Amino acid sequence: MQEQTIPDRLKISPFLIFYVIMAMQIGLGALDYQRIIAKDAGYDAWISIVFAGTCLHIIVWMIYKIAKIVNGDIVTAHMYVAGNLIGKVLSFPFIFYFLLHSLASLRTLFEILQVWIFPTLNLFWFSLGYMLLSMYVVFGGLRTVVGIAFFSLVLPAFLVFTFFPNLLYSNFESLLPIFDHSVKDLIKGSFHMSLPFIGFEVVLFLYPFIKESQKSEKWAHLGLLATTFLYTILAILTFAFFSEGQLQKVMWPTLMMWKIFKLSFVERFEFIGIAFWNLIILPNVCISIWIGSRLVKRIFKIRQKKGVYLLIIAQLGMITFIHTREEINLLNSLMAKVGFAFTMLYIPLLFIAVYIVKKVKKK
Amino acid sequence: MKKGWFQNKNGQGDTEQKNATQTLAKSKDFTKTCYYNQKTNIDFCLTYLTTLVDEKIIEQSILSSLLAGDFHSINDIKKIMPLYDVQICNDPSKIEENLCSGYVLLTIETEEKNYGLIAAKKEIVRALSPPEVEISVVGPKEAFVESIATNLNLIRRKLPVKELVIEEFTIGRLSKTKIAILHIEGITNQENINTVRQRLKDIEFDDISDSSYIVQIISDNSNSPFPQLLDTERPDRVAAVLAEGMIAICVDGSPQVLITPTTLVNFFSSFEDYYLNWIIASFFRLLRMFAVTFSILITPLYVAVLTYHYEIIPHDLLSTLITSRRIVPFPPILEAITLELTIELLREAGARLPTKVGQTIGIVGGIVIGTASVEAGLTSNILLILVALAALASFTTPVYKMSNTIRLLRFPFLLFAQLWGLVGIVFCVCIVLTHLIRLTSLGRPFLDPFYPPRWQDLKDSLLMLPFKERSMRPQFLRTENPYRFSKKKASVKKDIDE
Amino acid sequence: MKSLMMYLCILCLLSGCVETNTIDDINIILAVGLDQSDRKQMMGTFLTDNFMPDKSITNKTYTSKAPLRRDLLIKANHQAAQPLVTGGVSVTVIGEKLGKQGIDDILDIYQGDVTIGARNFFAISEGTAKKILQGQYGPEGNGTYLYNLLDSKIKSKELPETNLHFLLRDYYQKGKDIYLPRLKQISTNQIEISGVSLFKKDKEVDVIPSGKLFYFRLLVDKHNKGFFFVPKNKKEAASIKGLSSKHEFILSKKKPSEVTVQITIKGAIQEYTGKNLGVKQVKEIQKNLEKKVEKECLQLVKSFQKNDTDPMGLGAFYKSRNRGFDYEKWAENYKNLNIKVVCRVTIEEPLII
Repeated sequence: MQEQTIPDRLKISPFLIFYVIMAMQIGLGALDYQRIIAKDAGYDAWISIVFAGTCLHIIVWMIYKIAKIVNGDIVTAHMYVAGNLIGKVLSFPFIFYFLLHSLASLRTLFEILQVWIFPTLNLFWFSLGYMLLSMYVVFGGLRTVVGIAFFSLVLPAFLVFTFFPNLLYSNFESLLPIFDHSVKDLIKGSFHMSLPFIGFEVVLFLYPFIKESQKSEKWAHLGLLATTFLYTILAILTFAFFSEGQLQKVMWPTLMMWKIFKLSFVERFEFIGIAFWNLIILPNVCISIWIGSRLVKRIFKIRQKKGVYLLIIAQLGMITFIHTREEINLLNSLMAKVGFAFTMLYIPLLFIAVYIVKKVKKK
Repeated sequence: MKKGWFQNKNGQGDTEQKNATQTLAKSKDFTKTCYYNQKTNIDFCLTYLTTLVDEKIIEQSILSSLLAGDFHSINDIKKIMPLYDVQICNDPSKIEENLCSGYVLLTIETEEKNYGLIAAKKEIVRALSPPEVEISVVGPKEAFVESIATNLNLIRRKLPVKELVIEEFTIGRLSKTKIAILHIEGITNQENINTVRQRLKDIEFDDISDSSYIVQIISDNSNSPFPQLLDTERPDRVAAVLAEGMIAICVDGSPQVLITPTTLVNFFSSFEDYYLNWIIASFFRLLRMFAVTFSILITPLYVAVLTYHYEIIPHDLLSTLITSRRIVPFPPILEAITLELTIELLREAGARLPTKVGQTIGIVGGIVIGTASVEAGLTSNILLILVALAALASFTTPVYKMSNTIRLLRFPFLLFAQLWGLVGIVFCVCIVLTHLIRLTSLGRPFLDPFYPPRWQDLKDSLLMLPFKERSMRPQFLRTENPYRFSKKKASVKKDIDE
Repeated sequence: MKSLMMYLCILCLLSGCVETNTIDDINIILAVGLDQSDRKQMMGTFLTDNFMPDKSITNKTYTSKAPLRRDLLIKANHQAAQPLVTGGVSVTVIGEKLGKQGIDDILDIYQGDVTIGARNFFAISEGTAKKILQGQYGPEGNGTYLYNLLDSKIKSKELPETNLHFLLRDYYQKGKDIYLPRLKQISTNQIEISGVSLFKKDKEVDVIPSGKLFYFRLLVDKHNKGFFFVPKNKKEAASIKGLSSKHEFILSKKKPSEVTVQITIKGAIQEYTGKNLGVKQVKEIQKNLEKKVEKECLQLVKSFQKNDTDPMGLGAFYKSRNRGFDYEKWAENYKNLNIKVVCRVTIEEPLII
């Protein structure tokens, strides 16, 4: 269980975890979660978001406990619990988890581009361009990856304000009556929030790269809180903007909401939103590739750069096979389920396991 | 010795030295004259390069004292010579080096081992003149000149403290350029100084004729279009940044002093900002930032919107745009690139020609070509306005090298705009952003204070807060003493009736 | 690193196979007219602007017939020298006949088409939509003219607030019915807004003439402002400028089948033809206005109920006040709902010198 010591200059400041978590969460699912949760929980679904967000704080707390006990990332935790070899075997699937994450983010982005702007967009070439860009980012090291995460939040931050003119066209009465749905429906809605919410679990992989790691816990919670807040506000704005029947016919409610906003020199704002969505997706892909390649390095002891090449080639190979809307939806729902299983089921299990092993080792 | 005489640094004794003087003797300006002192009955010779020495000094000081003075051996010259730089030497390897830098070699036939070296440099120095690139309305009007001694003097005068350390050494195998590293002890981070020193010593280029060479050689990433060392011709700016904890590099023969480590925002702040009220300075800085963004993005946006996103154009603007493009036979990208290139041509032609002709070219080019091409229907008048504005905006950047970068950056953006429209522009923004995040200056992040976000450094970046708020030195410099003054003292607040 | 960038550039150049839409190589459709031509076929009229080099604008329409809505554009494209694109549609006019047959699938297409903006207008025409689009209304082009006409009338509150977004929202919302402004061509270069068509589901059922639009607006728009009104008071007449008005639905707790529409108007007298305008006269004008509004509004409400259409969104309102609301039951009972209208007018004191 020999830990590789990470030099200080490669580490990131604890508060940057805030941006990492938010950037990783916002991306996948953030454009259409309103429609999906409203399917079950109706216009009470914003309660589901708050509920889901609250639950996740417990998971974040667990993540930090695990990381603190084993003093390392998830691979270390696995080795701590199950020994060297099995630990590595257990960590292996997570390479695919992150591969899937970046694949789903990327494919959804391309889908939007294809529907909205370029119906004839060549998938392979564009993804190659995007992959080369991600490679350039990832080769800059974690500092650069986190930098992109930071800018992907800060630069498009003004977009949040562009939703507020929608208030003129909204009807908040449609949110009434509150609690019109059963608790079961609400929990179902919370379950569907797993896709937009996943991403915070990266802490478990980045932990050794954070300066004064434990200090970052506060920031992780804050990041999660900020995402929950953003999602809730956005959901309420969406629910007030669309009627319930209409929402189910809207593919990407977040984008459609930009349609009403107008400046004297920009007639249709959603194009600007979509263009910026590129930047918002970039950290999702980059962090995923970085973590994936890092896992490859930890498990197989090969250079991280080779891991990056491997993941990028795998991604390029896979992305060209996903063509139809159904396949994309399948990919997203698969990601949602896997993400849910990992965050809500596996992490608590790991937490208990680590705790037991700790007790045993003490004796 | 085909390789040349400069290699005898390793010192292989007399043969080498003879070789050296033999090579030197080939030059027309090599002079060796022998004299005889009647008083003390001594034969002596003076060897020098006529092009480098001041004949007046030889006539009035050296010869007069040597011929008439009480001169028995080499050791006597220090007594009789009314000059400050007189050396007595027994190391022959130094001879050619000193001859080449304006010394007169004194040899006496009786003494083979020892010889004297007397400085008789002909100093050709330009007088101080007002800055030509970094012009300011308020503030000092002196600028650096080509002589390192003058430049150091200018800086020393601004910072008359013992902590200002000037290290000097020579680089360049052929040019033997003198370089001085300046920093303030107790403020500047030692690690930074060591890095600079190491990088300068590692330079192996033969001819360093200007500080710009050094910029390119010691930059962290020389493949970046962004300059990573700031060059300035203002002594006040150098003094100010030294006080902040940066390092200055003076190069002999260059009127530009280098400043390192720098960040991106340094390149967009004119030093005149500091002489203005903070509100006005902040406004100017924001204006410049806007100008840069505008300059880079406006033509790519035009191309992207007109090529792909007609939906974005408001109805009222649509007819203006379409009418202006109606008779233009080229796609927007071709139109934009042609116009951008024309503007670049005008700029380049204007810069290469003598000032008066240059102005004429600017006017002729701008007005005649512009109007004619619009009337001929080769370009749309709206694009012409945009391109001209973009060019204008790019000149607001206070640092010349940065404004070149900005003009260059437009072309990849144009390319991406043509490829994927707005998406392509954001894609290109991502590339540039990544590049900037990866970029470092002396190992310090180039994008500070934006990333990593440092609140303290933000106070003097896009905005410039009042002096009271700027009590800290920039954090990214990791200075040894982070405080410029005690903030507590400055922020004592008075009540109404006090 | 640099080589990577170069690589990127070259690759991107290779991949530059995205279809371009250069603005002078496309025909931007500004207005669409949809008509029922015969039992099975639809007729589409697409209006584009031709921008002349001397900055004047001429209209050009393309007409096509097809059984399916989506085919209309494809067929019209055969006639156009440059491809017709829908991203700039600002007005859609539905023919009268089609309106009566139902516009469900048209709305569906508009909901699904991401290229169409949300701010554009839907209107219904008296006669065919084609005729409306083929007129010559103003130098700015028909599309822009129609858009500005509707836009200015909404801004000046002569029409109830409407655009594609509101239309689709109300259409897909249970418990609210849609309404569309009516356009009437007076002559080939004159057009006016002649009222509002009421819809039940997707079919036109009733028309509100422009004279009654004022009361209609009071009922359907939550907030109103800036209207003119002239109540007759025996010999005298007063013109009132409405500063603000709002409506509220009030449910009676005891009887669930009773709902009160409470209208509050705040106004100021702008013109008065009588001799002197004192407190007493103001009170009288106030009373008259209240009575008149109540009467007219009630009449409208009754006609809504008769046609079984709910432009006020009472169903949606009931839903927001009741948990476990049952729409079907509501729809059955709507006709028998006891709707009351109460109006309260406050008139600001006139300036007396």
